[in-house]
Amino acid sequence: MDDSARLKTMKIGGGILILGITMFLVFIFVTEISAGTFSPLLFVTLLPAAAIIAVLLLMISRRSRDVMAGLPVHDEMTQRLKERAGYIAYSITLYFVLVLIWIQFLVEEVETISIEPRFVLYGTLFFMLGVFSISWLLIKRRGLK
Amino acid sequence: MSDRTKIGIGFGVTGIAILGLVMFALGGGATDLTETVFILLTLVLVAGATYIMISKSRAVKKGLPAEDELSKKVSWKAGAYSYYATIWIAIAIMWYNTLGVDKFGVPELDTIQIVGLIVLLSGIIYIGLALLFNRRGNI
Repeated sequence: MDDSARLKTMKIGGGILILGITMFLVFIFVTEISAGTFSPLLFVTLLPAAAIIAVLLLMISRRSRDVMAGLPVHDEMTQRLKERAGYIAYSITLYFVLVLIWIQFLVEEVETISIEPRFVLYGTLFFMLGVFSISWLLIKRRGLK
Repeated sequence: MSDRTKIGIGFGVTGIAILGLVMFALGGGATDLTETVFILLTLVLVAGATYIMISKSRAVKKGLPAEDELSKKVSWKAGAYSYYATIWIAIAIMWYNTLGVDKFGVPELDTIQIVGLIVLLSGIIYIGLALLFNRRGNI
């Protein structure tokens, strides 16, 4: 596959991902509204989603500019960058979910209530995507160490 | 952060996990099959982490770096794949808890079970991949 075909695939992939995130948000909002359990807190999920979409668009536009300038789409550095960002995001996510367990235990002890499982899942997914985007940007700026 | 500090933190986290298990056992221990499975899996993860920490501290004692270039590559790659796997695990649980419960009548997972599943499954994937990449060498 040559670089222009790769770039086209990347653009299509990015478009599908953006569409997926939008559909996911619509799904959450529709489900919550139809179940009558809509909470204004759900609007908070729009912030990381908007950040992720912005990062994706930035990535795609930069990459297409690079390809126009004659640079390759995939190189060793990009691969390592993604792996490092993924590793950091995974480590931070593990601590995040462990903190969630503790919060759940504390809330159960004090209030005898429970955090809704769906909020745990939405929160974890958005947190993961947000942390990956931030660490990817930071590592790209600072370089691999 | 020096190698000794990193190893110290690693041992600290492993110690907290063991302490948590001991406290859980003293508080009555597992009451059903799900809890027993969770505890067994946690024990496997703690044993794996302890093994890694001990081998790292042995390397530091010999004057070698705790993490060489290969082990860095291995942990980054395994971590990245575990990250992607964790996203799919969370999405799968979401589908299970919505469609599975509504259409097939399976029991709904509560918050602790969800978090436990995410940690344990992704942990197993990470350890498995790290061992595989270590064996392969050329990654």
